[in-house]
Amino acid sequence: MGVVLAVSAVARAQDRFDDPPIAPAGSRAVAPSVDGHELLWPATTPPTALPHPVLRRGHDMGLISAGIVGLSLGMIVGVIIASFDLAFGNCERFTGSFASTRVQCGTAALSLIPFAGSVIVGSVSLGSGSVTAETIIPGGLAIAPQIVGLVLLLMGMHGYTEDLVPEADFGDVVVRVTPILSSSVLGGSLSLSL
Amino acid sequence: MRSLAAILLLTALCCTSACNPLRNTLPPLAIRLREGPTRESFEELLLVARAQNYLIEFADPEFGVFGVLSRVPPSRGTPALTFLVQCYADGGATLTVVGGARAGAGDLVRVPDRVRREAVALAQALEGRYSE
Repeated sequence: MGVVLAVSAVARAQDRFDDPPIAPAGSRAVAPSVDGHELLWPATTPPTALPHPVLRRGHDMGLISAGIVGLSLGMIVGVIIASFDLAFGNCERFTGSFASTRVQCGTAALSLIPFAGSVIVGSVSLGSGSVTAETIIPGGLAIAPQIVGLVLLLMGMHGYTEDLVPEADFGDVVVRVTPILSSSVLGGSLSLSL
Repeated sequence: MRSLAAILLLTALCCTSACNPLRNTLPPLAIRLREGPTRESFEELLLVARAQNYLIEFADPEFGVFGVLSRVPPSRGTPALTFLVQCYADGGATLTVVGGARAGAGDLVRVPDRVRREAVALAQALEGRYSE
């Protein structure tokens, strides 16, 4: 029973593979073997085959780069809001007759703090606590790319990718220090080759 | 609107790597026969494959080809895959995956990560690297 199953499995497998590559057009006799049968192996290894394959594991730099871009973009928006605050004054100071004058909120430095700083900058005055609604919206615009960037950065740092490369690609790193000594010049050169 | 543009930009950047269509593909892997193009080399490859606990589906020394069943069990998105080892008269051999979907033009086959790792490990073992 086991033999029958094995034979049928081989027959099925050969049915699957009979069509394409078993007897390619480029087959030729290589050398007679010990029992007198010729080997009809194909002539040459396809050039598309990857020699000495290895899996190189590393972080997904695309995700990490996108995360850094997102964080930077949010910070830049925060700095722009801070600049508007310094130039035009985002906060309002009310006087006794319900008239208001635009003043600086005094929170421009907070634009250098990620996330919370970008929301507070230009919208909250630490002195009087007055909040102007129109400047909270740009604060939200500043924090959204930062959150997306942080998520992408965490994804990139936590996970990894695998690239299939030939082993030769690893190469060597050669650091060469060459001293320069002469009667008038004293120094050296450093070269790094990958 | 500005936030939407930023998210679109980040998504595009993400797709340059994470959604790379060639990320989960496998080209034919080249193997160098240590004994040259002989029947003994072929038998040695079979021995190595068996030593790695692979089930030989079929073997034809005359045409220098044999197939072993992948150890990754078939699932809903992954059919049963077979590693096909073809020897060549120039002293080389190739390991290809049969049963996976073709990825564009050429010999690239789309395979799950586990199958790709398994194929590379088998190719390294057949070539005698990292296994002695």
